[in-house]
Amino acid sequence: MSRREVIAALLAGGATGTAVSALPSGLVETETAERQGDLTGANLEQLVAIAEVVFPSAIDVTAEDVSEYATRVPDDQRSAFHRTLTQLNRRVFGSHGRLLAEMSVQQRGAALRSMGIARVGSSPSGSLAERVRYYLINQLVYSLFTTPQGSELIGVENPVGYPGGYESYQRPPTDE
Amino acid sequence: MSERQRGGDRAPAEKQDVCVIGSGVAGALVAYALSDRGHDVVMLEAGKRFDPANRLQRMERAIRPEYHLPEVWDMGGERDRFTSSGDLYYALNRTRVKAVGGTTLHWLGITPRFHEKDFEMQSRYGLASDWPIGYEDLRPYYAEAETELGVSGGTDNPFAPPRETDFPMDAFPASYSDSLFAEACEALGITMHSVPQARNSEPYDDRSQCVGYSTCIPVCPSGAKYSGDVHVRKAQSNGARVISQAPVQYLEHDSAGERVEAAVYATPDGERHRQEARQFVLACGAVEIPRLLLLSRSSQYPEGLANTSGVVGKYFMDHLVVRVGAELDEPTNQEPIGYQTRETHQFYDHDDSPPGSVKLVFENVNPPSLAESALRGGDTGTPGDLSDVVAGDTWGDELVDTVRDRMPNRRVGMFGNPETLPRAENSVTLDYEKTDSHGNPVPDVSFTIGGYERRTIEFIRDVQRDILNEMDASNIVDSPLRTASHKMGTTRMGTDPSESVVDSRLRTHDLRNLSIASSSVFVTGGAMNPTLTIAALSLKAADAIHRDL
Ligand SMILES: Cc1cc2nc3c(=O)[nH]c(=O)nc-3n(C[C@H](O)[C@H](O)[C@H](O)COP(=O)(O)OP(=O)(O)OC[C@H]3O[C@@H](n4cnc5c(N)ncnc54)[C@H](O)[C@@H]3O)c2cc1C
Ligand code: SF4
Repeated sequence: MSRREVIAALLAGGATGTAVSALPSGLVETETAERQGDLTGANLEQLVAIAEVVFPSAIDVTAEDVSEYATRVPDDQRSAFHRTLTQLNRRVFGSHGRLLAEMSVQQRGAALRSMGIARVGSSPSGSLAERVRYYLINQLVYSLFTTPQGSELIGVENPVGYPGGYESYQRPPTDE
Repeated sequence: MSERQRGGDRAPAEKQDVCVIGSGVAGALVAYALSDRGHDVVMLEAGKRFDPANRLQRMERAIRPEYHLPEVWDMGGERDRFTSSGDLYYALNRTRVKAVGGTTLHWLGITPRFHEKDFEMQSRYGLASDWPIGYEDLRPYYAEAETELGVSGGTDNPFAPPRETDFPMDAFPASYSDSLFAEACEALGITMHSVPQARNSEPYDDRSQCVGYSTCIPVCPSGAKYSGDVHVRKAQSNGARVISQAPVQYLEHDSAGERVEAAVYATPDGERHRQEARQFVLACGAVEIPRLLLLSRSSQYPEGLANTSGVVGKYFMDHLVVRVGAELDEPTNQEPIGYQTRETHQFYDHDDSPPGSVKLVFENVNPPSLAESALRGGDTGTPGDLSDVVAGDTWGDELVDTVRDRMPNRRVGMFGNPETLPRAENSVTLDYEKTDSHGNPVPDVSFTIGGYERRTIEFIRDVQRDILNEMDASNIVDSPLRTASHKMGTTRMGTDPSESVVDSRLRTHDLRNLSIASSSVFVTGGAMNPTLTIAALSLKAADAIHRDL
C-alpha cells in the first residue's frame, strides 16, 4: 500500500482490513489500550518522541518515565488521550510520510510547530493542535516540572505539586 | 459503606433527632458531636461528595492553566450564580466550596483564637456591639476545637489570649525567608511568633504529616490539612446519614410559627423531599444561611424565617488582605510551601481605636508555580486560562532559560489583615432578577468598606514599609486590596430579639428548634481568621441542642 493509499483509506473514514494490517501500528487505535489506558509499544514510542522535543536536553527521557507519566492521565480522559495520540500520528504521517519517532528531534519539533502546536492554547475539547497541547505536551511538561527531576534545572528542590517534605523551606539557599 | 451511607439513596430518613443543613466544618462538627452522644442525625448537603482518592487530579487542575480556580471543586454555573453590588466586587464562587466538607476543602487552615477585645468592641471602644458571650465562655470550646481539627501551634506568642492546654501538635518551624524579616523586626521592636494552623506537623488523627505539596489553597492531596469531611466521616461512623446533592430549598414551620417541621430539599432527579426532625441546624455558610431564611418566608414571617428583627442578611463582613511585595539583594530561597510560618499579633490589642486591630503575616515566598510557567510555554505574564488563546511557545532548553530568568529568587512579601466593622448596609439579599438552577433568586453580596478600615489599612502599610525599608528592600509594590474569603455576620448573635437573630446558645430567637452554626452569627469580625471560632461555636451549639433533646 502506497502512502497515498493509506491516506485515502484514512480520509475515507477508517482503514479497510488490509489497510489496517499495512499501517504502522502507531496509527491504529487499539481497543485494549483505550479500555485499559495502557500504552501500546508504538504509542509509547510516539510519546517518548514528543518528550524528547519538549523536555530540556539535560533530561534523559526514558520510556519507563514517560509510561509512568502517561498512567497519571485520569481514567475518564484516557480514551481522549489515546485518540489524540493516534490522530496526531496520522496527521504527521499524512503530511510527512513518516512517524514522529522516525524523525530527528529537530524535524519532530518542526513538524509539531508546523501544526501550530507551540502557539495554540491548550484545551481538552478543542482542535487537534489544542488537544495535543493538552493531553500530550502539557501532560508531559506537568509531570516533569512537578518533580525535582525537572525543577532542579531551575534551582527548586521541592516544586509546587511535589510531596517533597517540608524541610526544604527551612533551608538557606545553596550557593548559586 | 452502604449506598444509603454514601448518599446515593436520597429519600428522607424517618423523623430524625437532628437535621443539619450543610456539611462544612460547622455542620460536620455539630453532626459529629451529636451523633457521638447517640442522637440520630441526618445531614443535607447541596454539593457532591468528592472521592479523597482523586485529590491528586484535583491538584493537577489547580496547577494546570486550563482550569479556573473555582473549577478545582466544580464551583460555578447556574447552580452557583450570584451578584455583587457593593464597592468591592465580591467574587463569591472563589470564596466557597459546595461539597461534603465544604469550604475547608479549599481553605488555608490558619486557626488563631479571637482575642478578648473582639467580643467587647462596644464596651471598650464604643464601636459596633458586644457579643452576648465573652472569650471565657468560648475558651473550653476553643481547646476542644483545636483537638478536633488538629492544630499545630506554639506557646511563643506573647500576645495570644490565655490558654490552659498545649496545642495538639508542635508549631511548624520558621522558614528561611522568615529569618530575613527577623533582623528588621528585631530592630523595630516587632515580635514575630509561630502561626497556629490546622495542618499536621506530625501524623495526627490517622492523617499524614504535611509533606509539602504546597497547594494547600485550593487542595491538599495528602490530607495533612484539616477539612470538614474528616468529621463528616466520623459522624457517619457514629451512624449519621449524609444526603449529598440535596440542596435545601426552604424550611417549613408549624402553624404557630414556633418550630421548624421540615426542610424541603431537591435531588438531581428533579424530586423534592421533606426531611422532618426535632431539631434543625443551619450550617450552610454566611451567605446561604441568610438566603435560605429569606427564601423560607411565610405569612407569619413575611420578611423571611427567623427575621422578626429584620437583620437577617445584614452586617455582612469579610476580612481584607493588604499585601506588599519587594525585592532583596540576596537570594530568598524560594522553596515553595503553601502556608506561612511566622506572623505577629503585636498590633492586635490597643487601648484606643482606630486604627483597628491588625494581624501581620510574613510570607514564605511562593514563587509563581514552576509547572504553571512551563505549561504556558514560558509565558508567565498572561492569565493562564482558556480565554487566553495564545500561549508562550518555548519548550526544551529554551523553556528552562526563560523560566529561570523569570524566577530571580529575590522576592519577599508580607500581608496584613485589618479589622473590619459590621455595617448594616453590607448585606446578603435576594436578587430577584437572576435565578439559580432551581429557579430561586440568587444571593446578592454587597460589601463596601469605610473610614475605619481605611485608617487601619494606612496603618498597616506604614508598618510594612518600615520593615521593608529596614531590610533595604527595593521595588516595593502594594498589591491591590482583596477580600480574605472570611464571610461573617449575616445572622448576628445578641440578647435583644429586635436587633439580632440568634441568642447566646446559637438558637434563633423566633423558632425554638432552629439553631445556627456559622460565622454568620459573629457580632464583630476582628482581624483573626474565623474558622476556629466557627468550630468552637459549633461545639457550643451542639452542647445546647444535646441538652434540649
Ligand atoms: C481561599 C480560602 C482560604 C481560607 N483560609 C482560611 C484560613 O486560613 N483560616 C480560616 O479560619 N478560614 C479560612 N477560610 C474560610 C473558611 O474556609 C470558612 O470560614 C469555613 O470553611 C466555613 O465553614 P462553614 O462550615 O461555616 O461553611 P462552608 O464550609 O461554606 O459549608 C457550607 C456547606 O453548606 C452547603 N450548603 C449551602 N447551601 C445549602 C443548602 N441550601 N442546602 C444544603 N447545603 C447547603 C454547601 O454546599 C457547603 O458544603 C478560607 C476560605 C477560602 C475560600
Ligand atoms: S503543603 Fe502540606 S498542607 Fe499544604 S498541600 Fe502540601 S501537604 Fe497539604
